[in-house]
Amino acid sequence: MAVDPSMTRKVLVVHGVQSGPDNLNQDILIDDLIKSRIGNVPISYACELYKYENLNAEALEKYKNLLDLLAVIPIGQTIGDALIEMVGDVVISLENGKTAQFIREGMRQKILEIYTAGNPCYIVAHSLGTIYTFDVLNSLIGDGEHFDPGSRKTWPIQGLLTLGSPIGLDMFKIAGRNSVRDFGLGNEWFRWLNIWDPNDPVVSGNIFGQHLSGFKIAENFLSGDPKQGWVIRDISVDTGKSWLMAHTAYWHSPVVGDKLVDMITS
Amino acid sequence: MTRINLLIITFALWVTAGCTNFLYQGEISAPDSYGKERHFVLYWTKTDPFIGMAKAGPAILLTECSNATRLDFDDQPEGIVFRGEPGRDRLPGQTGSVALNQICGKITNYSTLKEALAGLLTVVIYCQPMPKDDFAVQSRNYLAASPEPYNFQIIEKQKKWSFFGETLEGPPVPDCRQQ
Repeated sequence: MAVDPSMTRKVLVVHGVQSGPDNLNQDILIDDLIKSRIGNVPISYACELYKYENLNAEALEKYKNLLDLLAVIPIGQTIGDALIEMVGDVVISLENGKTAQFIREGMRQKILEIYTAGNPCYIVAHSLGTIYTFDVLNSLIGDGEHFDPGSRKTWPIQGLLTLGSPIGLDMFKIAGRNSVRDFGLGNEWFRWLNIWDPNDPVVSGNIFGQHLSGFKIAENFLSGDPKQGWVIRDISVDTGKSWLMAHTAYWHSPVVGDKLVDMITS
Repeated sequence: MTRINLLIITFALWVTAGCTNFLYQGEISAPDSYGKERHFVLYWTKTDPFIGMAKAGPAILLTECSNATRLDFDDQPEGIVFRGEPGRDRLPGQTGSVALNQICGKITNYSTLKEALAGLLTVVIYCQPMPKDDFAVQSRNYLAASPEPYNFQIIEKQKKWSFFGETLEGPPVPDCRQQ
């Protein structure tokens, strides 16, 4: 079993918590974003969404009720989706029970399905989806069956791009989520780009979207060992939006599109 | 009463979320990493809120005929820098790739992108790309490494006021005139 670089590249999009299944179109948004920025690069790619909305239906009910409440005031219609997503992400991410395990297992199966077919796979994860993706990726590295540091053809995931991730918040630093799992010595490096807007409240944990300063979030997960094999980059991006809207503005940012093009073509 | 409340809410949101969005852009023709004369485009956005701190960047460098290469210069403790990547960049004259976080380029006349304005912007490049591997669909390519800075004349391409901010579109990758 090996990845064939000449096959269609799969961009697996992992969403955050949504206000309903109707909003699960992030694969289309990412496809549009890539198309808008890729120019004439000779590449075949396809976007796909890993959906777990149905698994969180019960937990989401209270947030849907909040959305309904917001919708009765005119301004609520504008900010409702962003607020729901932010609140939902932060609260539900703290749960580490059966539902979370179910979501992780489903994602792992999806990734291995793509790997078995031989397609190079790149993951774009947003918000809560970044936490699940981090766990699944590190578990795949740890199982010893994949991710030979000398050959990318053994890698079920070729690159990771996270958007608006709350992974730097203390509340997520439970056991085993303090650093990435090292690859070992080899010639190949795994790339993780963590893109965040300084006003994104989910990244900062500040409900008022207070401007986040500093440079490192994901880069703090590097072990410092020479055998780590990771290139982790935090990229602070101006999405053009403020406060709650910043959390859902990544899908339209040309910078996100450019870095994604750079990732899936390399 | 309802109308007054609505006005108050709208005003409060405008104060907290209202901003001006800028798109800055500059272009030059210069030698690329393989010695060919190419067209390069550098762009970044800035958001200046009515209340609060401005945010900007990163600046993205686009290379003619190497559409897959999108370098980012972002604010770091060392200034506005392009950090090279192990396996993808190297210093001239070396066969091995750079170490993690090697500074491979720098915008030298500003310390943060928030301060950068229309006018002259100087960029220095220290590295060159490594040969591509099986997964790269194109060779990585950017401005040639040079001790002399490249001078970009930056223009304020767009400036827009809005209540909730706007994500501005970036410029297209320059057309390829000759492979």
